[in-house]
Order: sequence, then C-alpha cells, then structure tokens
Amino acid sequence: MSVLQDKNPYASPIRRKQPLKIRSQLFSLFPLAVAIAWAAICTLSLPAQQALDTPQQVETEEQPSAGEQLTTEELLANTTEELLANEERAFQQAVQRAAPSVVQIETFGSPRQSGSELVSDGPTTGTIISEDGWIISSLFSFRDQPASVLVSLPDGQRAAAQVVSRDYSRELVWLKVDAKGLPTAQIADPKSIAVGHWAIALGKTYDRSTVSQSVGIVSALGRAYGKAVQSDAKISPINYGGPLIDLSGRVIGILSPISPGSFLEGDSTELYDSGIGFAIPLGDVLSRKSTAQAGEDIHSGLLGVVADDQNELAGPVKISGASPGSPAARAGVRAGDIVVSAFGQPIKLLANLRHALGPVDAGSNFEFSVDRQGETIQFECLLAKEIPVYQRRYLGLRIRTVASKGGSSSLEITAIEKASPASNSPLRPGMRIVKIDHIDNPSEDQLLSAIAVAELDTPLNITVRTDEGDERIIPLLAGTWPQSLPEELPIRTGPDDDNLEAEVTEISLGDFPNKTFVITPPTHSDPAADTAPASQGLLVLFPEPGELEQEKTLNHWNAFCRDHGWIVVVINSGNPRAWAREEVELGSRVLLKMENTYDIDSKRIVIGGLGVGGRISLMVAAAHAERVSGVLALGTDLGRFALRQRNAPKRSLDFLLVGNQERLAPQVTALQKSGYAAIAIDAPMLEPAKWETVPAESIRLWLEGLGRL
Amino acid sequence: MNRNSARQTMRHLQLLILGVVASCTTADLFAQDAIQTGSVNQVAVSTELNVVKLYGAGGFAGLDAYQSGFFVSPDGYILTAWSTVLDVEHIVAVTSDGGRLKAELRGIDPNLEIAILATGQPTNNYFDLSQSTDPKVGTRVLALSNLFGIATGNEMASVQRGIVMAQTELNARRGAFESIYQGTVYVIDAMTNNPGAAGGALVDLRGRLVGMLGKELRDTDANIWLNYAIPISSIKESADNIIAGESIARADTGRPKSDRPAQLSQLGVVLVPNVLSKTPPYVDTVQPGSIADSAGLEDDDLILFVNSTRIASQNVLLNELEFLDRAESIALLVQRGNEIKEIVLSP
Repeated sequence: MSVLQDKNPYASPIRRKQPLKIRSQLFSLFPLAVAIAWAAICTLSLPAQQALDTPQQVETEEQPSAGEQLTTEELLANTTEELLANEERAFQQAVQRAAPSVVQIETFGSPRQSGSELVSDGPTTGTIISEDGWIISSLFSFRDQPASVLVSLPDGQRAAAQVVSRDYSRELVWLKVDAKGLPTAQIADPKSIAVGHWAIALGKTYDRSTVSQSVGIVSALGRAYGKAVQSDAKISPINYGGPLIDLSGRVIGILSPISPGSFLEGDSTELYDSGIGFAIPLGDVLSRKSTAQAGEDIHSGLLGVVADDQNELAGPVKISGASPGSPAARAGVRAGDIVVSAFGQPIKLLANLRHALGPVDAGSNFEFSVDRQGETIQFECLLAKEIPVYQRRYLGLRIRTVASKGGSSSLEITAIEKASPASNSPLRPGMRIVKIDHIDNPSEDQLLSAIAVAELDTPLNITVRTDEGDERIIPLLAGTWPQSLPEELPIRTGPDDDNLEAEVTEISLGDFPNKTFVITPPTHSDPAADTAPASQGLLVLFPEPGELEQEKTLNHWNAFCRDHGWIVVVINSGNPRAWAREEVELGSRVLLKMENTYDIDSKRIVIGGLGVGGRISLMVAAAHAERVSGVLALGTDLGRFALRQRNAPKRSLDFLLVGNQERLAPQVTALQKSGYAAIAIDAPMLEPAKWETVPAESIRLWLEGLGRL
Repeated sequence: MNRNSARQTMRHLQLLILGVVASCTTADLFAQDAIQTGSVNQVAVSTELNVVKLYGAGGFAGLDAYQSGFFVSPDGYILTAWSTVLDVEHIVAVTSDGGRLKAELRGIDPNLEIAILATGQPTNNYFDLSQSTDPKVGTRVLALSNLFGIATGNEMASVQRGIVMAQTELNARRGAFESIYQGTVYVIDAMTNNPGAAGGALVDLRGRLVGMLGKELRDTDANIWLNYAIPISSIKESADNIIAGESIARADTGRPKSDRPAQLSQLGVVLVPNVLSKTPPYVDTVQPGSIADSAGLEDDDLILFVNSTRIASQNVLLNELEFLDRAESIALLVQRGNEIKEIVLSP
C-alpha cells in the first residue's frame, strides 16, 4: 500500500505532483528532439538506417521511398507533412496488427483497503499470448484475489478468467479463460529491440473496443536489474498489462508497474508521468510458461550474500558473510570471499551482481565464483524464495581500537554488557581480540561483520590476548540483539569539567533553506596517549514543522551532547507548516557533511524525529539503511508506514518508538516480524514540541546500546 | 538482451542526431533545414498566435491565478475554461505579441465548464470553430498553452506534442469534487494538463483546432492525473450561443432516483453479509417462488452487472437499485462457477 500519500499532511497529491510533472516537461523535450531527428533519419537516409544494425526495419517498409535509391535532393523534396503522415500511418498499422490481442479485464470485489493511492477499481488491460486463452496482465489489479475476473474477448463476449499464477518478480499475472482461436500477440525478435526505436504502448482501460495508444521510443534495455525494457511512451495504470509494440505490431514486452529498487512500499507511483515506464520482454515472460501454467507463483531468487559495502558502485564485491540460513550460507560462502563472476560474466561492482541475480527466479540455478585468498572457488546453488528473517546478532562487547607496538592497531575490550552472551564467557575488559574465526587481527568492521552473520548454533572462535600476553581461544555463541532497554550500560564519560559547554553552530545545506544547527560536544584531550580519540555518535533530528523554541531545543540536547559525546543535528522544516517529501534528501546531505567533518562512530548514527518529523526520519533511515543504525520516533503517528525491505546483516535498523504504547504496538510487531529490533516506550504525555516530556533516560540508554558489538 | 549491440546502436543514434543537429547549423544547408522542420514549426507558430495568456483571481490556497485561452472570432472573443481564475471584474489577456487586453466575461456554459471572454479587439489571429475537426485515436496533436505560467509578455505559449491516446467519457474529479462536464474527451499521452494549461488549444499537425485543454482532473478509475481536451465539436454550439448573447442554464444532469426503487427483498434475493467496504455481491439465498427464483438466479451466483452498470461491490449494487423502477425488468450478468449468465428479472 502507498505509505506516502495517504493521510499525510506534507504530501498531498497536488503538492507532490508538480515537481514530477515539471520534470516530465523536461523529459518531453528529449523525445521531441529524438522524434524530429529520428523522423529525419527514417526518411532521409536509408543507408544510415542500415548502419543501425537492425535487421527488421519496418520504418523503411512503410516509407514510399523504400526499395529505391533516391538522391538526397529527392528525399528532401518530401515535405515534413508527408513524412509525418507516413509515420502516423505506420503507427496506425502497427496498432491495428497488435490491437486484436489486447483485451480489457474487469475485476470484481477485490477486498482491498480503500483510501489508498494505488487502489484501482477500474478495468485493466491484458495481452493474449495463446489462442486457447492464456492472457498476461499486470499485478496492478491482482495483488489481492478478486472475487471474479472478466475478460472482454475480441468477439465482444465477456469470459470468466482464473488467476493461475503471479510473477512477483516482474509484477505480472497469468490468467486463463476457456476459449479457442483467439488472436495472439506476435513476439518481436529480441535482436530487433534497440534503444531509439519506436515503441507504442497499448492499453484497453478506457474502452472495451478501442485500444489506447501512446507513442515513444525504447529508452533503455536491461533495466530494473536486467528485467525490463524502458520506454518514454506513457506507461501507467491506463495500460499496465498491455503490450509495448514495435512498428511492425510485434510485442516488445508487457507493460508492468515494476520499478527498480525502492525501499518504501508504493514507490512505483513516483515514476508515473515521468517519461520512464517499463515493459517485461515477452520472451522472458514466455520462457516461464511451464511454471506459470502449472499454477506456481514466480518470485525473485534470493542468494543471501551480504556485501561489505552496500553501495551499488562499490567493488570488488567483498562479502561480509552469507545471511544465516540462505542459499549462499548453505553453499559455503564465507566472510572475506570476493565475488568475481556470475554465469561466466565478470562481477566487478555490487551492481553487476544485482544485475546478474535480477532475472533469476527463486528455485532456479545460480552459478558464481569467488576469490578466497587467491584461490577461485566455483559455487552453484538454487536461489531461494525466502531467506529466514534476519535478526541482528551481538555479543555484548564494547571495544576500542588501540595502537600496538610496531604501528599496527588492535581491538581492546573495554566493557562487557550485563546479561549478554559475553557476560557468561571468560572474556574480560582489557583483553585484545587478535583473531575471530579465520580472520587474523580483525578490524572493528571485520569483527562486526563476523558477528553480524554468525549462526546462532555455531560458536564464533575468538582468540584474545590477555594483559599477561597469553593467547587463548574462546568459543562464544552470538545472541540476537536485545528487544528491550538494558538496565544500565557502560557509560561513555564526558569531561570532568562541568563548565565545558557544547558548541552550537548553524550550518548551510546547499540550496535547501532549512535552518540547521549542529551541537558538538566540548573537545577534551584524552590523557591516554595510546588511545585514538573516541569517535562520536550522530543524532540527526527532524522536529515538528515550524520554528521550535530554539533555545529550549538546544538546551535540551546541549547537556546530552556534553555528557555522552554525541553530535546532535537539528533540521527545521523549510515550510513552517509542513515537511515536504523532497526534504528527505536533507538526510543524505547532513550525513555526508557530518561524516566528512567529524569522526563519526558508524555504529551510532541515528535519525530521529518529533511528531510528523518522525515520518521524515523513517524515510531518511530507509533510504540509507547501510549507514544509519537507528530510528528514533518521538510522538509520531506512523500510521500504515511499512518498510519494504527486511532486516539484513549490516543493514540493521534499531527502532525506538516513543508515544502511546498501545498505538505503537502494531508497528513494533510489524517491525519485529521483519527482523528489526523495535522497542516502544510509553510516554502518553509526550507532546511533540515540548522536550520536557521526552523520557530522556530511556532514550539515552537506547542510544548508548547501539554502540554494542 | 544484447547489450553490446544496444550500446552500439545508441552510439550510432547519438552520432546521427548530432549529425542532423550539426547539419542544421551549417549555413549552406539552412534551406534544407527549413524544409525539414517548416511544417510543424509553421503549424505551431501560426496557431500559437491565436493563444492568449489569461490572468485573474487566485494565487492563494493552491489555486492558480493564470490560465490559457484562445481567440475564436475576428471580433476578439476568447474561449477558455470556466474556473475561479475568471472570478474578477477585469481579466487580463496577454496576446502572443505582448498586447495587454482587458477582457470581460461574456458568458459561461456551466455544463461544459467553458467561458467566453470579450475583449472588443478585432484580431486576425483566431481559430474558426466551424473549421475544427474530430481526430481519430492515434492522431498526432500539439497542445498550446501557458502551462505553469512560464510564458510572460510577448512570449509564445508552450507547445507540447503528443497523440490522441484514447477517446473516453469523462468520469473524473478534482480533489474530492466530481467534474461537472461528463462528456467525451480526448486523452493525450503528453503532460498537457498542468497548472495554467486549462483553456489551451489542441490542434492537429495541420493546424486544425480539435479541442480545448480541460482543467486538471484525476482519473478515478486508474487513479492518475488525466491529460485531456474537450472536443470542439462538443463546445461549438454552446460557444456560438454565448457569443450571440444567450445565457445557458445549468442542466440537471443528475440521474433521478426512482420513486419506487427496486429492492433486494422484493426481488427475493439475500446477499452474503456486507462486512467489507467492497464485499462482492454474492447471492446467499434466493427465496423460493420469488422474481429472482423464477428468473433462474441461484444461490452463490455473483452479480457482475446490473443492466450496463458494473457492480464492483454490494454497496454499488444497493446504490444502483435506487435508480431502478421496481415495475421494470432488470438485466443481470452473473457468474456461476466459471460460467457467465444473463438473467432477466421481470416483475
């Protein structure tokens, strides 16, 4: 369901629409240029057209000049009017050839929630792919099971259809009606589908007898992780399920609401009217015929490797570990492995791996190889539909990096949390971790990775060196991250001098007008020379829209900053009455700025919000799950907010929801079901704009808890 | 997918486009350039001269203070959309040459939501409504309007290209409000309906007027913004009448409810409990000897259509019955298992 439009004060449909549409105006200029240029090419230069290495060129067949070599002057003599008329005729012929296989589909009694942007009562479109009644439509109208599905067949009769299979990976649905001799879609030769070629999107939503048509070009191939063709023809609920055809009336693909990776549900609407739409190549649809026709649903295949760096452009793809219980874990992928190829194609960036995995369905085979300390190891495994919901692991340690003799550094245990897995082990503060499993002298991040993917029934082997210089191996089972506040935590000590005050500075965020303050703890020199200065936690706050009582806000966080060594950023809304969706972008600006300016502890980056600001904070955290560790929502009505992605190793988010516990309970349950750690704190008196009512102690405990390993 | 060839093709295409663009800038090819782009350009420029930028009331609460219009007679009458922008004594019309004209509301047609403005200024740049034409689905069109109020002074209106994507009956709303005009519209595959575009002109590639861009509307079926124009053939008669000084009253287009509405109990139909917002209208029981029984309706039938109205839920069915007279027969389309059956309930 849509989470952004519904009952959402800062994102009314009208507000949201304009920037998108302005953008689409810009988009529209390019196709115009291309259309004019292409039109000129089509008529002007037959040789040039052949240079496009496209064997099947109906454009030229439709032109009266085809087949004879005309001089440039003769060709130029064709007026633009003739050219356009010919082109329009070519479009019409293509449409007429494909139109009979396009059908209108009506659904009845879908038990969907009303009031959401994505609910569609109206008819939808389907494409007939076999004379005996197999029809492809999109998931748009079939996410839930309708009581009845009627297809208007070419003879005008309505026939009842069965939903036989749903392809969740490509957002398509396979329908079957009892019929014989139906006109079927003709498939375009995949080799003839090329960027820049005309593409016409057909739908039958408006009218049972006439197809709607929108003309564009093929904009890109292999989009949405290798699953879709992109076109600038208008693709929307008006024609989802219909075909995208070429100029010969052959089907390039089936129009689909698929959208490339998004974290929050309902994001595909963002691409409406933006000059970007997608079609699933018909060949890719038909190749799943036997699965679909057997009534099995189709899902994206999951491998379950977690890359060290979640940035798509990061490479080489070093694995922090295989998600416990995943195909990758069963195949034996280990932390430290580097994925080097998939299906024989080199994998250099995380994006390469995602593209290789994108088209592979659950239950299908995936071949890849990794480099393990110079040795190449081949793997083959069946991708899974589901991977066990991941819950974050922990041992209950606090560590710091200390310099060793000889210039290297090592990890020292500074504290052990009460009632944690480590508290019952021989691990003691002061010990140095010299090896975890097979990784010698692990960095903090390597240690974190090893813990993150630890199986709950297989102990980690931690080698420590004691003060006396002895080394011993301590096997320790990781536990799942606590779902309640700790009673007490090893507290980071602030400066002894109470007179030291945190420093408040106003910062600029580029073209955003938002008034933004950074509160930094007082600097103090650490007498222990062998200790690197402790990195600091970062709390980014989005308050209620409008100017808060600035002084109070700053005072409240000032003390927290000073005592606990956190940096607090307060971002005020640009519009005093509402937060705008665009302001989510502020989050990444601030994160980048803070990470560049200060030594931030990556384990303790929290996005928080008061009241409505809490929603912004959730969106920011969702967009940056690989960098953010926690979400703090104070008095926020999260409504039907839902996270599309489940918890994953090294992308874990901790949630602290403060407010009416009863109302927060369903949210907490939903988050925990997706594997996230979520805690609700009852603060019925919480008035979002009044900091005094915020239960400071609970928040402090929770924030400090994020620093555990 | 063959990415390599795609890339290659793209490179070729880019080169070709560059080539075309480059050739346009070469002086000795200038004449050819004119031939190549002359027609669309001429259509755009000549028709744009007829379009005016209108300024009136608004500018707060999300309402825009500007829209578009076009001359429809040599004596300076302007056709535009009837909207709150026109709620001022003097509307300002700015012509394509920067001329600033005072315009007065000559009259409106509340059913079509159109207005005619009088400027009293003779002009050569106007669309002759009697020369308008009805395009087919698939026809290429240009939309001329001052969308987003981007043109000022003597700037020309903006031109967008698209095709007539579909022809459909309007069933849309703005915000929570139903559109008053419920007639035929042309749906365009370009983003033609944005703030300020209402009242703009839709022309075919020969420069013939085909429609007037409507106000921003949301398509209730597909739940997306609708880009559409009202056919001039639907507007012409009314526009002529307003120019002639006739006033046009709001027609009661509302469908009258029946004095003796049909009822499920009278028909002998009991539906399954209506517990969801969209409970499917499944028949729970048919009373023996009732109208429904003798017509052949059976338990577990799913009612899909009543006459020609699609029945998406029980609530839709109950509402529809209020418009039907219990003395007249009702045609039902029902689904029984996999079969679709027509059943006529005759009292």
